[in-house]
Amino acid sequence: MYISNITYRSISWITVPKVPTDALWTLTWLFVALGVIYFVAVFVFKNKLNRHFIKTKSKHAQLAPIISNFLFHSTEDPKEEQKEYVNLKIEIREFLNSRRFRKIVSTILFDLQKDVAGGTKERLFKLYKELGLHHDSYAKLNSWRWQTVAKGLNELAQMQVEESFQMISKFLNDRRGLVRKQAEIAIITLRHDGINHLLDTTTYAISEWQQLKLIEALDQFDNYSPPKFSNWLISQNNDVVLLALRLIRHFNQNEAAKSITQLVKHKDDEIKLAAISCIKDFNFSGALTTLKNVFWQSSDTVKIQLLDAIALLGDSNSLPFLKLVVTEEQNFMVLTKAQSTINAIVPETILPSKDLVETKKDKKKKSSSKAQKPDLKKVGKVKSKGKNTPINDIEVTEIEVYDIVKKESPKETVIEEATFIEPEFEIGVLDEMLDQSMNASLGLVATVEGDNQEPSQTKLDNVSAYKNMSFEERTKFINTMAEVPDARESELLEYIMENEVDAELRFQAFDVLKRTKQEQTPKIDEIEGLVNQAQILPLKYHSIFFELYEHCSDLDSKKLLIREAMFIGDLKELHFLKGLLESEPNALKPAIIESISVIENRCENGISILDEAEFQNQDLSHGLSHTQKVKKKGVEQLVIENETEIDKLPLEFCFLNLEKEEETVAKVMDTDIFFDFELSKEFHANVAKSKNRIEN
Amino acid sequence: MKTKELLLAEDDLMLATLLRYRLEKSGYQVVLVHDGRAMKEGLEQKMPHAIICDVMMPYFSGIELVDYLRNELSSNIPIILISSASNEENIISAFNMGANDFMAKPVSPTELLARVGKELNRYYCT
Repeated sequence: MYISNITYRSISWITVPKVPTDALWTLTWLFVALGVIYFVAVFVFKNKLNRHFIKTKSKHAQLAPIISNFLFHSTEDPKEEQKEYVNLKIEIREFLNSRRFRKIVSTILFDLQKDVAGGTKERLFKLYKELGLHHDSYAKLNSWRWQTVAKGLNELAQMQVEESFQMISKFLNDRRGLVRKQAEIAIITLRHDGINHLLDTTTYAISEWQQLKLIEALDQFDNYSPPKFSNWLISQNNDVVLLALRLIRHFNQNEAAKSITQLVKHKDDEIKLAAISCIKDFNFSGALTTLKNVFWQSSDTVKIQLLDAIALLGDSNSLPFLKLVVTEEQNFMVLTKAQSTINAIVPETILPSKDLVETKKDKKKKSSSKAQKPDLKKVGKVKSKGKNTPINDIEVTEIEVYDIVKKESPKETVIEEATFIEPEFEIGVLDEMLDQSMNASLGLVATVEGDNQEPSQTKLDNVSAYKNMSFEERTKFINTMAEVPDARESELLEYIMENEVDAELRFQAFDVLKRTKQEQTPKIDEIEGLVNQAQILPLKYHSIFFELYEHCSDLDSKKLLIREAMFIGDLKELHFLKGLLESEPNALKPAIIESISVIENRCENGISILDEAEFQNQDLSHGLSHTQKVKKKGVEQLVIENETEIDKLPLEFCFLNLEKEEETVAKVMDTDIFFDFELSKEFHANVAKSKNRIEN
Repeated sequence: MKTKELLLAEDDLMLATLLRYRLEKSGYQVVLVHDGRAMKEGLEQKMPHAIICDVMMPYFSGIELVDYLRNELSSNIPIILISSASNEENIISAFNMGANDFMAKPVSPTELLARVGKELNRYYCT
């Protein structure tokens, strides 16, 4: 019962809707009527539009000869034409009372000004104003709709209504973007000095597209003499600075080298890129140092552009920096760019190495290096027949191989290993050496293996490999070293100089060694970066007082620093103080002169004064050798052997001889120490105020 | 001296009227057509002394007209082409077809007048 109730009970929302069949005809007639109304409406509106179009066309046809008459009318025309001209003027004045007619005339003139040029165009602009059509454009500027305002601005600019310049300039900082853009173009189109006004007044952003349009608008002028756009490089609006840079580049104004170079340090990447483009275009080689300095703080895109600029402007002096980039940079694109930059400066420094087909020689090399690998980890003990056994006499079966025990005496190991390598793997060793020297020269690999090896072991390896080379191989080997002199090969070169039979090779080795010692540029050490940086900077920047002085804002603290420099300063401070003499105000000059004279006296008595170049070559290299010593022996083993060497210590290591320094400083300090404080007016005022309060 | 008759083919009504007015004011008799088909019919009826023709026109372009005149009608009358597309390729193809002169829009009516005068002089006085 229950089930039948559920089954046959009707559910209202799933039943078929009841259609009122009586209303079907009514609905049909309704839809037919709607269809008819729709088609009639389309027909009427289309006809209306057509009629409007035909009417406008006929008006155009009617007005065309009238406008032509106005445009080509001349006072020298015959009397009949003069009469016709006057009649037409009266006729058109009557027509112009109609708003619709004015619109048609405006449209005709706008269309026509695009197709005509020369004197006719100028007469057309004049006619536009004579007919008073520019008042319609003015009226559009007061509209609340942005599109109407923009149209008005466009009309005034196209019809060259110069009187509207002030009105348009009000819209330069309009909050509506499109109105602002139209006003910017209008202001530039109207007057040659419009760009000055725009750059001076605009506070809003100028999009890149808009900037290009503005430059295009400036290009339209005949006989345009652009202003010095460098004046706007100091604008507070970044987009104005960017536009100014683009205009400088566009109009080839290359007299603002310093400002443009300074802008490479800008926080905005776009400005940086624009400045770099200018530097490249104008070949500002003086900006090279700045380009290198900002490199590490820049984004990847800027880095690539910077490298591009360095490739264009740089020379071999830029190579250490580029090698540093190759070793330090993580980004693939920047790394590749740095490599191509190296090749751009010195062609074919880096050769292709990836996906190359292996030749027989390569395979041999590979197999030999593979075979050599165990030798570095294991020691082969060779049982040979005699001391100077030839290669073929060695019995390979007699070789016993076992793991290296680290605690074993290294010398013994080395000798045995050398004896083992000597006959078997001469090509591998040679290739490895060549690879190492090549990699080191490029700064590509931090030769981990080489670093781990004992120097004496490496030397022996190299010597033994060299001994087994033929004359041609030796010549090639020395030539390779001559291409990329490396301080780490000096021991081998010394060996060649002493033991080589061939005089020519001996001389070549001597030559390479001489160059190596002159250059003293280790490739991988971290010190290299510091030294290179130091070589780039002028001497005054080496002073520890330089940076402190830069941060001083008042004269008193500057005086204190100058005095401190007098007590402990040396050659670097002397250069620093001499630099200050040129730049600082007269109030500081007595203190500076006094400090200079004290330091000069001290230098004459103790350290000899070197000129800048001498300082860079000798003092820095000296500093470097000490740093290397520190690295090799450890700080505790650094023993200063005599007094002269102590004197030559760079400032960073002065702490090693504190006692002496203290003595020297004390001597100077005994002579004249005084502190002079000047209390500010504000301080006195505050004291007076507090006194008054207490009294009250 | 008999007035020279010019055929002006330009689809833009305003520019055509303006140029016709300027040319007529200088003493030329101008026949104005607004498309290529009308121009072709006009040429079949009567050959003008010179033709000023827009390159981009309905039915029949200026370049096709030059080709038609030089190859089919074997006429050497001066043809001056006007075009808003003043790219190098257009100009070169117009001259290769046998056009005598080329002017890019916007056109200066005074300059056009000078060019017409020069072409007519060169063709009829030498």
